[in-house]
Amino acid sequence: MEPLNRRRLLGLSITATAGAILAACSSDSSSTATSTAASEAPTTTTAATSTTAAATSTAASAATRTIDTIHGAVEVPTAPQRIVALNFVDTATLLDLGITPVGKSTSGVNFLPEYTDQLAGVPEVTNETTFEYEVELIASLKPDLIIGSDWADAAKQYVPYEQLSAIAPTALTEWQQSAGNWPDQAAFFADVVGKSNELDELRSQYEGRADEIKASRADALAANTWALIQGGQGEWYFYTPQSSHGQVFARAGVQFADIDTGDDDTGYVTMSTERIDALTPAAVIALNANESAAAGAADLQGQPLFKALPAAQDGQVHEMIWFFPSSYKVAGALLEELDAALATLT
Amino acid sequence: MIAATADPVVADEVDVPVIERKGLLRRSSGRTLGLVLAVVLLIIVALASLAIGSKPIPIGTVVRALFHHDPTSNDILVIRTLRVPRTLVGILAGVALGLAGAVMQGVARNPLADPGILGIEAGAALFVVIGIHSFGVRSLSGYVWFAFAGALIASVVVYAIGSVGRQGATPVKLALAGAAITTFLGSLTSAILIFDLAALDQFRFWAVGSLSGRSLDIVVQMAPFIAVGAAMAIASARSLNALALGDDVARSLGQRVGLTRAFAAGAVVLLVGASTAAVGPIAFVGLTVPHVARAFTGPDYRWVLPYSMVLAPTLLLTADIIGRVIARPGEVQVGIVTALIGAPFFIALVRRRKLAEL
Repeated sequence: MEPLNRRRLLGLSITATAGAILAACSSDSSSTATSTAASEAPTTTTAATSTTAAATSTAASAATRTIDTIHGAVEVPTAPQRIVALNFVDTATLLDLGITPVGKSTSGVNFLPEYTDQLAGVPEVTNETTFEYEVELIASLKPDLIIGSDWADAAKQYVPYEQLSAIAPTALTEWQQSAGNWPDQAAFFADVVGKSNELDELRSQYEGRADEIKASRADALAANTWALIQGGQGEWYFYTPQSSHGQVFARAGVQFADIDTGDDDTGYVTMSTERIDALTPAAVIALNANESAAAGAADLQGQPLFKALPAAQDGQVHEMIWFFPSSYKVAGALLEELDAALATLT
Repeated sequence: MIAATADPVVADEVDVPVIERKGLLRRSSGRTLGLVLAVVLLIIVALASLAIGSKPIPIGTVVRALFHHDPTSNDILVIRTLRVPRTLVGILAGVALGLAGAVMQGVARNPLADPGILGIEAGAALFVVIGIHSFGVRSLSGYVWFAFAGALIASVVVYAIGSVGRQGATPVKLALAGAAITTFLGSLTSAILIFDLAALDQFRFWAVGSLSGRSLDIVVQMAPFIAVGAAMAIASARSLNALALGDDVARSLGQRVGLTRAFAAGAVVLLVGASTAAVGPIAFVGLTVPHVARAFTGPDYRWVLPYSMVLAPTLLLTADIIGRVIARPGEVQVGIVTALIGAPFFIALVRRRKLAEL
């Protein structure tokens, strides 16, 4: 190949620069198409409208207040009208509090059917193939508040905080693996939008139900140890009691089997199929079977090693779909599944 | 009087073009010995694949597991139901990929040719996604026939497009058609996955290329196709030697160039189609193993093919074993490990000028 001469090099670099400029300026219209396809209900009359519920919040003497976030103190409006939610926990929390955000992020997590109806027409702010935030889309929604979560460790942070703060006040709280701290996240978001009282009500409802289960199923809970897992095809995942669903189970009094995974990650551990027998100490197994995990669940249950487990032989493998509870209402649904499983245990 | 060491370049058969003996092993006896050693190495690696895994199991148990079945022992279940099928699938896929890579490089007369240029893997991936999205296929065994059908259809389309025009399917036209079809099929695949996140969640396990989770039925289903493909590949060895001299010279030697190419490409499609259907797309094995083989045997396809056939499964199983132990208690899939090993090798390959002697 003959060496590049100067003219060619100049020509190439001009073309490349022009191409880069054109690509950066082009608007991204794919997200609206994605969200219309993603929402299950046909579009209702509610388009991406702002909330009216916030109007009833107590009028503060100032128009803004200061909130402590992982990026320091941030001034947020006391009565936000157009809120963009960056993650599924905040999206669900807002819906629980009766607020419809103008931008959502569902990340393919199981949402209650009522949520999906409320979210019809609300655009997804995450690009579903690259999982990056669509900053131009968020700007076009003209929010007055952006909420979300990110890793506390600055090296792992992925939210484009500077760009988003330029659009609207951005309040981020800490994210832990597998949304393990979702109750703390929910409390933060409720505080930011000024609805802490409503959240307290939801929490006491959830905790009341958990205590009810703890009392009424005390015998079954005392006599059995549990393990929470999900299947992949060719591998499987073990969820620790610190995971978001593990905490729901723990609150209802579930005892976790002492499973030796050889790893001490706090949210979940990826395990090879050869190590299915690590689940031997568990008397009951809760298996994630929601839409994304159904194939893996079927695959896992077909493995000879799995069928040889004591829990499988006793018929105590329970498929559940509300893993990754993102809010108190979803956690409530998970509690009901737990209760149904406990009912089968003598 | 014993003749001085006869110049081995004076070939045995008269009708085969004289090929200069290159490579480390210049005599047939050296090459045969090398092949036997390669087979022994493969056997050793296969046994290691049975003995080593994410779960440490003592050798005594491994040996016992091969002869007696004991459903109450988890270790024996691991060996018999997981490691044995996995090793067999690895050998099968390795044989297929190695042979296909060597044949592909001969057909395309290009040391960087990879069976993927025929659109095989893109076609398999698209049909698997269609299976997941439209037909609700859930299991790895379920994907197998979709992937195989996709591989066949895509390569037929590529070959048809590449054959348009008077000269038929020349390597350049095939490569161009293959690149275009691969991109097109890839965009269709992405389009479906963007709208169906659950399908993406399921597809990503297959798309990375893994020996894990494959049962014996997959081996049984794909073995006949790989056997036929392997037979076709080995049968085309001498024709590939002729093709290597250029189309015109090959024609003047009596080779039916178009037919040879079609036959060899058919072998590649069967081999890679079956392998991708069984274990998903695996990169670099078909690309690099023939070069290693050539370093020992020189460019004679009658030796390159058998060596590729034996070295490739050795490489694949070694990569799989590495993947099993570096991320305990999880595993790294073999498709990732071969890319990790293969990429630096490939870069070194491209930078060396001497290698391109096909």
